Amino acid sequence: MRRLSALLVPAMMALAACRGEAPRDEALFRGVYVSPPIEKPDFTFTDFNGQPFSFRLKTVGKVALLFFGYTHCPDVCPLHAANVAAVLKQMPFEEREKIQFIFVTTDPERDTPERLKAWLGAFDRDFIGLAASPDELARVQRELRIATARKEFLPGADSSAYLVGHAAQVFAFGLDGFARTEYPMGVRQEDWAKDLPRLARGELPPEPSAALPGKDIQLVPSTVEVAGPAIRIEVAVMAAPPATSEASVYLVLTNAGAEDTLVGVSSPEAGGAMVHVTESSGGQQVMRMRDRVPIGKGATVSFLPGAMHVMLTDLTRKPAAGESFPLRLQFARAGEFAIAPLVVPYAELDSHLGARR
Amino acid sequence: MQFWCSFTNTAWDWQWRPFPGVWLFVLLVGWAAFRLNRAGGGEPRPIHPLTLVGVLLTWIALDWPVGALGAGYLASVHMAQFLLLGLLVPAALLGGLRPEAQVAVAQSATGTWIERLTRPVTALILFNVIVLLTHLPPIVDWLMPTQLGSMAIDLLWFAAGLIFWYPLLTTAPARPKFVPPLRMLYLVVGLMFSPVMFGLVGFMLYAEHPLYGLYELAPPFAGWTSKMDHELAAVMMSVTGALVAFIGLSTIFFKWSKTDA
Repeated sequence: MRRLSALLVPAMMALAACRGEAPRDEALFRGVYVSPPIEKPDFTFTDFNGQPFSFRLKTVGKVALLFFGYTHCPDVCPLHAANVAAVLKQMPFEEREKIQFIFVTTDPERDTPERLKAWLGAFDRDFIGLAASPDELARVQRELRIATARKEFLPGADSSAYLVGHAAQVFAFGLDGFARTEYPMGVRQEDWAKDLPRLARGELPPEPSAALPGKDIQLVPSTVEVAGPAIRIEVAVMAAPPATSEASVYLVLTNAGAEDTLVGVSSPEAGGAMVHVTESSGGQQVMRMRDRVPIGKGATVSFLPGAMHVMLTDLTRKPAAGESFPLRLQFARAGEFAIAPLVVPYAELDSHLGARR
Repeated sequence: MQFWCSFTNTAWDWQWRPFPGVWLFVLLVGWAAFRLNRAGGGEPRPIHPLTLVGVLLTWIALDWPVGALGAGYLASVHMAQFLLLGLLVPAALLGGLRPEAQVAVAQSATGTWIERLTRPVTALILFNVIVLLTHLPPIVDWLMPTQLGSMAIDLLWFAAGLIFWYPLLTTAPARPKFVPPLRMLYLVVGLMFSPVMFGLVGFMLYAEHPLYGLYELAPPFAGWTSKMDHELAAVMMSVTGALVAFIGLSTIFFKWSKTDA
């Protein structure tokens, strides 16, 4: 029995200490840093009571959590609402009072004021639901640099049973009126619980440049000089996206020729395309855009999950696993490459990217 | 098509899905039970009802919808799978093992290993360590999104349950020192007041935030909150663990008192 307790007591202590994450720098916020910070957009929409709601005026002195979603959403929207509500319930009244969750519907046809109120009220009676005209909605989404929400009709389903592709992050506008952090899908309650009280106290997330020194793209030099086509696409895969709002493409490029630079990415089936780099330090993640990606002579550059990737937004269709998706890569020297990354489930990315991860 | 249930991060619907890996495993368990029923020679006998219950519960625990819900949506259903695969199924399968078959197993090539693994102290340690490891949040969050990982957890529970119940429910190999009071203590420490189970229940019930990221961030299911789901899982673990232990204790006690009388 002594052997048993000797084994089990440390194990239970490990359970207490272990929540499935790497040690974090507690000074950093858990949300994804927004760089540069986004100023609170100026809009007046209609709330679920039929009253005009001026976002700037009504949220003065408060932390405004702004989210674009719809009540028929099967996953992201109820998860964000439930997690924020659960954390707010545990916060002291003084802090909780300073936080306002604002849900802007991207599906005003089905989200009637009554439905919006009932749906949000099931999570928290203090949540506010807003509706706007499509043009106004699109303007604010552009201002926030997020994909414009759009309907997605399911094949063979009733035309009223559509989904809406929309941005999956919650913007947190601090007391100073700027959003310095956003909270994408995957943020847990414990992350909200760390950040919301700090935001309510008026703490400002540090500028990413100050908190996280910029990191150069890693170039892995090849030991072999290869003749032939300069740029080779070794691997090109797209993680099957849950919606058409955005998708990530991962690549492994080798350059057997002279030094070159990736200067552009585009897709005929996506409204936007860019190279993003996710940088992390102490558990905090920051996403930055890269205009140019140099590829040295004989080098391999990998675009991998959690690091550099091609971000596509506003897809014209939702590609399913097993399909391919057109992508163009523009190199300064080698010119344009038209490729068709294979769409694979996110869980299978590892097997495609293999040892490169 | 998936061969085993795993987390898929898609909204739940009630559309049936096939899991051929699960069917193969259930067939394997059924075949093994059938073979063991014939082991030891003698006249062919009908399959013991408990064996049928064990195979049926294995199928229910692993196949759609229980398997799919437990693997990717609800911690409480995941807990139900554990209780079925780790406690009830092994007890039913071993309970249906005839004495001749137990002797045949003990005398088989693997008999020595089985005897070593199922020594009461060893079995108690193995069961608790497996239960603990397969419930640690990082391990659950890491393994459940893959079919192989999810299968590994299910099979570990099944193996842990067999190891735990073996010394209690079989008479071969003979364990003369494992007397009824010790058997009762074994059940109390292993199930009724198991530090591992108590610890897990405590964390699921009283942690400030949901223990498992996978179930916290899974597509919501029918208005259930993650907190409610975790709490239900905790209650299921504590109540079922205690109930099974109580039934076991009562059975051992009454058999013992009859023997003494």
